Amino acid sequence: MLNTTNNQTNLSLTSLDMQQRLQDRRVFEQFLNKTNRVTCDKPKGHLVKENPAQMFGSMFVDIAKDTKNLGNALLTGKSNDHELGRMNDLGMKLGGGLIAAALIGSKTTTSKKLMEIFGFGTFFSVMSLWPKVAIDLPTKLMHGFNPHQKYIDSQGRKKQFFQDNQYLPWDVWSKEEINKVADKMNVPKDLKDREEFTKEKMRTIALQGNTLWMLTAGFATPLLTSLACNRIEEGIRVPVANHNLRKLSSDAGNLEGAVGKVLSDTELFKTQDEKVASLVQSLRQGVMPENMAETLGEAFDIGRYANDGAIRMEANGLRDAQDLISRLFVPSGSYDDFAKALAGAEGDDAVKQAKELFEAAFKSAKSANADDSFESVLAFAQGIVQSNPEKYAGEWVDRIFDDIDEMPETLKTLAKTKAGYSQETLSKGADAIERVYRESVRPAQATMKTFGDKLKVLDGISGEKYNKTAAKMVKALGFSDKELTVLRNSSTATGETLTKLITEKIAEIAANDKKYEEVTRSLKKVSDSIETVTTKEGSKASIKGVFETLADKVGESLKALGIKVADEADDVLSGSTLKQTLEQGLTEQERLAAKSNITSVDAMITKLRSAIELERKIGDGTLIKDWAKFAEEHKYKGNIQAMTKEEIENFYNMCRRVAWQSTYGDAVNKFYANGNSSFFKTLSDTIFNGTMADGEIKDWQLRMKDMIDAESCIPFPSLEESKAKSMFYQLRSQKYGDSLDVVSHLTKEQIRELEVEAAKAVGVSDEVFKSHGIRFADYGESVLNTFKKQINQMHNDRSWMKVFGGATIALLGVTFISQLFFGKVKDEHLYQRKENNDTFEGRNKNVNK
Amino acid sequence: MSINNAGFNPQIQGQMPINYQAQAAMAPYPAPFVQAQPVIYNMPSAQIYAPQAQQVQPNNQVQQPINNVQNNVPNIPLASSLLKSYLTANGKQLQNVSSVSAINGLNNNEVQWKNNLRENLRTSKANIMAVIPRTMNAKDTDGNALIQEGEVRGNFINAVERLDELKEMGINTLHVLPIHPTGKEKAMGTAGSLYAPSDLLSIDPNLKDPNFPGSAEDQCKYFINECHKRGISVMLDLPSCVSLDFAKKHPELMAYEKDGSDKTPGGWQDIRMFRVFDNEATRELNPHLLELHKKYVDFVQDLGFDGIRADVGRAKPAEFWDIIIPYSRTKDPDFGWLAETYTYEDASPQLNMPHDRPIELLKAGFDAYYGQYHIFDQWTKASQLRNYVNEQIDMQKEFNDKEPRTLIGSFSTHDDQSPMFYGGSPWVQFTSILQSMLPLCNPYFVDGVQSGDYYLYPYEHAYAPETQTDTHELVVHKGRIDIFNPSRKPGGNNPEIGKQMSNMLNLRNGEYNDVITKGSTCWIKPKPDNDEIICFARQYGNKTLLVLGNRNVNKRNSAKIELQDIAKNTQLKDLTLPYGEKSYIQAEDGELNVDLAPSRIHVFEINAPNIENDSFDVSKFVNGTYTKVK
Amino acid sequence: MQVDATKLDNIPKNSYLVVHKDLDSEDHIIKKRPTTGARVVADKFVNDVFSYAPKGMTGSKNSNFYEFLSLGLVPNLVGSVMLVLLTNALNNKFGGRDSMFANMNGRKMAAGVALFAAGKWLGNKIINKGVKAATDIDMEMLYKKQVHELPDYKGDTDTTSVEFHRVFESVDFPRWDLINKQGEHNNDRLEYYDKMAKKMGYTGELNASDQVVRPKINEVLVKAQAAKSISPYVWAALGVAIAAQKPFEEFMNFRQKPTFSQAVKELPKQIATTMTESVKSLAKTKMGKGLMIGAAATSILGVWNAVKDFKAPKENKQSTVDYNKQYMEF
Repeated sequence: MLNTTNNQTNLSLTSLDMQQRLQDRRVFEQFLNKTNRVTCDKPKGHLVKENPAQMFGSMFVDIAKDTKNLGNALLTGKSNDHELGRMNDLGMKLGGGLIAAALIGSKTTTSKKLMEIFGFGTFFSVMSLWPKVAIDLPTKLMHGFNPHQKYIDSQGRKKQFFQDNQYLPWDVWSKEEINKVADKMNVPKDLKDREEFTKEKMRTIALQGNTLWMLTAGFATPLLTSLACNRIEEGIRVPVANHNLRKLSSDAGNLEGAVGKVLSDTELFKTQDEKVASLVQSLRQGVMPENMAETLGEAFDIGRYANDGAIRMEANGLRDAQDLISRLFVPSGSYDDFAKALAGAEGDDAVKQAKELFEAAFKSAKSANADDSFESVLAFAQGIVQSNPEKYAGEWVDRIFDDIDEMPETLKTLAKTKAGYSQETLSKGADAIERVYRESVRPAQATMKTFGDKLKVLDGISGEKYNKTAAKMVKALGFSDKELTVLRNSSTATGETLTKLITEKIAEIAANDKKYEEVTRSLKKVSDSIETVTTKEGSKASIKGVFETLADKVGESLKALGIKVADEADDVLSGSTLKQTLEQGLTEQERLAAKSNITSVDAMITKLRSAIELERKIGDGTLIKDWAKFAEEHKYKGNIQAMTKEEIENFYNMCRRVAWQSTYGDAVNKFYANGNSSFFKTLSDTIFNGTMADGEIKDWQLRMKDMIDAESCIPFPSLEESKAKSMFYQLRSQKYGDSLDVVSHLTKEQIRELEVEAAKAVGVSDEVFKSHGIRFADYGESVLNTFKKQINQMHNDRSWMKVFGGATIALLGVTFISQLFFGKVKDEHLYQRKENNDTFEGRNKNVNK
Repeated sequence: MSINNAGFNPQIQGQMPINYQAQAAMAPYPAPFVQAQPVIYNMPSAQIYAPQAQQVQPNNQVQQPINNVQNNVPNIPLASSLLKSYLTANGKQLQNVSSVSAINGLNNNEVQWKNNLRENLRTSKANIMAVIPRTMNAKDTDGNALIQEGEVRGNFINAVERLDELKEMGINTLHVLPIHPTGKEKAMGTAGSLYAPSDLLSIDPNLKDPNFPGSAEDQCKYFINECHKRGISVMLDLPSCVSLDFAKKHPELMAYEKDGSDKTPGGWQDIRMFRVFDNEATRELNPHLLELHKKYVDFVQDLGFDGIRADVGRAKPAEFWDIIIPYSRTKDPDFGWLAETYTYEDASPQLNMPHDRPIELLKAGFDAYYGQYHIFDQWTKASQLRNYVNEQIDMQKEFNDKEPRTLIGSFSTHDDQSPMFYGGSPWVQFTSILQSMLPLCNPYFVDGVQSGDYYLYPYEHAYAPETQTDTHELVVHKGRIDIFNPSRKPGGNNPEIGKQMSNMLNLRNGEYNDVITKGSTCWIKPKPDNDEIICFARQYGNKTLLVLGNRNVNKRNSAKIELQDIAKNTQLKDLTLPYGEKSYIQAEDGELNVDLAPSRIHVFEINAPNIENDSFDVSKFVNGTYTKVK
Repeated sequence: MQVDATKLDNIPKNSYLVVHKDLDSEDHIIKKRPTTGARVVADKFVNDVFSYAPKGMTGSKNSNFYEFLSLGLVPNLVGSVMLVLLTNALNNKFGGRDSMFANMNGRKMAAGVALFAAGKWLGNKIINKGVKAATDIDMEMLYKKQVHELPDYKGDTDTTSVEFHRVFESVDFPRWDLINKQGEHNNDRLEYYDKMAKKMGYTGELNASDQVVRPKINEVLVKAQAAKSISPYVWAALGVAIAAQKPFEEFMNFRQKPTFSQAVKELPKQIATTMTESVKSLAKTKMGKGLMIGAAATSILGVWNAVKDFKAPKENKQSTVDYNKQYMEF
């Protein structure tokens, strides 16, 4: 090999080396400045661009996809973390739906059922809307990008871009998009690494947004849901009531459907059917069951299933049953079985003799117009035997003298049941009972039950309307928050302050003409709008109207169920009281009793308007003038004008108490002249000079009624009723004392007895007591109580809203304000401008340029 | 260095890329750059930096038509680059005579070497073995697996002793892990991590055999020369990060957080990242980094390497490689490039690390890449293997230069646990045979696998008295080849694996080279369909190789393989060496009844001209590009 | 674990000081004691408030997805408390009957929220325990994870934090490596897989039991996880339905306030009777029956579906080779 050490060539090596270096340098620079550079490929993933509508649509598409993935995962066991995560959200929504469905079952009124569905829907929509509204929107406005921006990854799966702070596939954002965001964030245009800085700022903001979402979602979802539900529930109450009213009014006309449904509810009639069936069966087997009257009595109680007795029926099941039994089962005097059993042992002639004995006894009982029951016939038979002892020999004869109970069992039952009745009578009776029960009684009960159910709904409707009216009434008077709180606190403490405050308010309204006009007009509007509702067909439907049609319809259908008398003059049934009960349909009394369940909205408004009227008269002094004129006309002794100012004020307060605090009971007892001596002490002293004759009392009462009830729709107790009522109380305390326990546990019969006695003592008919319960419904609650309850409710709502409404506002405030501080990039100051050189101070200190 | 390990694959993870094993599996980075005076890396006034050896121009070099800059420099035949560099060493003092003659002795039979690594990689002809010079032939005399006082570490010279063994096994390419000096500060292990270099332009002095002449570079050249003599190309591993020592000396190269603190990949403490961009928005690259890599290419080509394996290819963008790779090919057109990159990734699960996009790197000039075979143990079905092979075939359409891009058989790399853990010797033989037969795939092994090394080191986390770094702890990643400490020569006690590997590799190098590297791939569906039976054939011209394997490592599988050309009782010869239980095959007219033992795979040469009609999935080279035809 | 330098000096140059490395400094499976579950939740909540939330609000780079998921605990807890507060806080201010009604409603809500949580917990537990009983796969197996963070500021040395994860929380990346490490710790890497293979019904010795067991476990995990995205919510709905029953309402509202000692003695009995009565009354309603059957069905079917295929496939011994004819052996 050539030894090139120390020869000529190595000297020039360094220069050769230099040339090689320069050539490398030139080649390298060529590549440095090469233009057709390899560029990065377009990413496989891409951003998802959706407007809100598409976003909403794609939500359902995603749910469908998640469900498919769930099925596939369960079947094949093939899935991935992303899909499993989404399935969990699906499960949560399913759980929510199940809860709503479960709770609906336990809710009674339709509005409550609706609220369950609204609640579930609101909860999940708030949960998904809260981040979008409270965080995404402000970020979009402030920084120009959506922190919950979605993208499709290279595997085609839709994901949240910023969900994982350490896994950000930035290249799905194009340069333009990043710069657009940078402009919105007004990142200086000449910043050296503008894109890098923008991405860092976006990452920071998105992370902060996600964390804020986690910290606030726990507060926001429940708060916003309950606020929303609170408002929704308030909103749907009346519309739901109106909807129910419309539905009721449309199908009030045809009850057949509803009645048919009740009839088919075997569970309801199960026990009763069984009892009647066993009764009929034993009759057919020749045995008349002992407690037949009671069983049938119960079964024939028409109002039995009518909403646990809400409708007090005058029809009396027991009476009708006893009447029917007496009609159907007339002893035919056949005693063959009994005779056979009694004397059978001693041969046929003995049996024949016994048979004749009893038939003769029956005939003589009949001719003596005595009771034809077995006991009386037996007595007659004993009489016949004693009158000619010798004719009747044989052991059996002694036995007829035993007491029925001591008789041997077979004999006893035969005596009790079949004696005197032929099998034919028993079977015919059984058939009749079965037919009557099936064709008339059961359908009647079903009709009454339907009537009871519908009344319950009607009551619910009027309840809702009542509350709504009360709320509007209080608002119409325009109490301020402060006043409401004072009223609210005072109503629990002492009654007087409440009355004073309310009366002052009313006086204030009454005094100011403009306000008075305004309040009366709004009260008028309130009562009109509440009561009636327009149906689909455009006709008007009011609670009372629906009730009337309903009651008429029930009456008619009861009548239609009247017992059909077979054409061969089968008079047994035609005269029965049951037939009458059915054919009379709903008695007036029963109608009123049913109506009393429906709290009347009109009465409440009328009472308030009349209270205002009263204040107005007190204010402009017309009351005292009227009263003076009235006293003069009736030539009362006292001189109103001479009443001292204090007495007049006292008089005014008396009138106010009648107008404001009186319930129906008060009107009958407290405010009636002789029923309440202290109340009338001043009045009678000043006006009636100490004693009040009946006539004067009557005049005064009518006068008071005119004065208070301008529209005269408040039923005021008649004089007789007031007297009878006070007598009733006197007798009751004499007989049973005054302890509440005893009094409140008197039976219906005992009360009935007292009423009759009291009426007799006062010399009026006891009918006057019947109207008691009915009037209350129309008279309604005292204005004061209505105010108290309503104010309480308004105060509770307001305080609840103040606390949690306030909390929501605070939450929104915190969420928005904290976002103002978002976006501070770490070491922001170190991103330098382009114009100064590109060296980075911190790094190149030791490099000498 | 790669950031995934057996079982963890960041690329196909779902939305929840929890940082799993990433940190623990990441092999640390090479040692810092040892240089006496601070070297100025300023691009314009490039100061001449010694010792810059002159590249030996291989004689039949193909002219690279870059506007013929090449021609105006006279192409002077230089006697020997080793001699020349020796003369110009350390500022031109003359070395004493004795060392001169020793060097001369070394290179007396200068080999006429033609680098064809690029072509081998592209035509999947490269049979690659990854070796670590400092442990490749270490002499652990006391058997405690650690090279200490009185024992000899691996170096370039004693590495040569194993070259014949590798050649005989059929290996024709070496992937040499980093040979640079390792960083001392916050280092891992007593020898410092290979992937935390303190200097990229010099060689770790420990690799120099003291009682042998010449500098470390000279000995490296000698080693490469010896490889070339045996027809073995050599690829050097280019670390993607550097040590703290390097970072402190070259701030202009390093990436910093805005507050000036060092930017670390995913919180790793012992390595620092390069600053790739001056302005990422305008894709303006950091000139200093380009300059360093230019110098690195010069340095590597000067040493005689045939190619570079880029550690963590994703750490630098395609634009960067689009400069460095063509530059390297101006001087050596056949310079091979292998990229450590796996599969498409939307984003990286590891902080400060860019996402993985293999196709971009392959477009920038890389010839082959790692691919996904490292998770083959999770593909329990044959269809999963076939789908991946087809995915690789579909990818060929991305490149319009009609040049194939191939994979390497990354069934186990130095970042994965030893394949022995997945089923012992049968499993390793199964994967070795399989990767030798797959299309577009260069077989790849880590030194030690050929004899079943479990890479278990008794000194795990022990404390060693001597250390070259700032720690005495012998850091070890369980079951992975040791790249932190001066450890023993890799090797286990399953020589039969080596025999199987050499059998298969020599098959590839021998008469079946065309069939395997150019042949078509025909997948045949067993009847009844059994997705645990791998059955495909490779055909080229009239030669057909039928591959029959049982993917189930625990259970036998049996089925019928319908092949028109098979006649009753035809005699088959299994080209693979037998292992594990016995498989039984019965030839009938038009079909083969096979009863395959667990994890057995067989290769038969059969005469089957119409194999394509028997297959349901065929792909082959169609005017230069491997495409699916059926 | 540091070793003092002096000790090192007197070790001979050609040997080293073997030290048993404690696992604590890297990810490892932790033993589950009864209190572990509660401790992990408490740890998560404390971290939520004092570490994860501040990190999130300051936009720290180190805030990761695990922290975001565990922050999900906050809205659940706060939401439940808010629901109870909303319906109870102001009740006593309403006064009189309104307070009574409001309290009744409030207590019903509280009971509902409590039984929702109990139902959901129970739904999850049943499936976990069912899968564990049938397959020995413990879906609640916990591991402690060392997180290496980026320095927050120059010179920040505190860059590691601890998180508690479940080994099988992800179906894409179950932490097989930790299971292997635990095996290696007991010198048998495939210890867990061999046990599982036996449970699946494999009798003979397997070459690589993990390659058989892993896909099967994955399949069970996916099916169980899918069932757990539905069943707990049905149980939760059942819980709420029970809380809405009359007996429960009475229990919550009208029992006299017992003294503490009395309460402790009687309360469990009272709760038991209330629950049975509520369940009986719920069973009467169609919806109630549906929920009960639904809850039981989703649990039983969920577990059955998950574990039904967890068994070794039938060994189809028959081979297509006819051994009494000529065949080749390789």
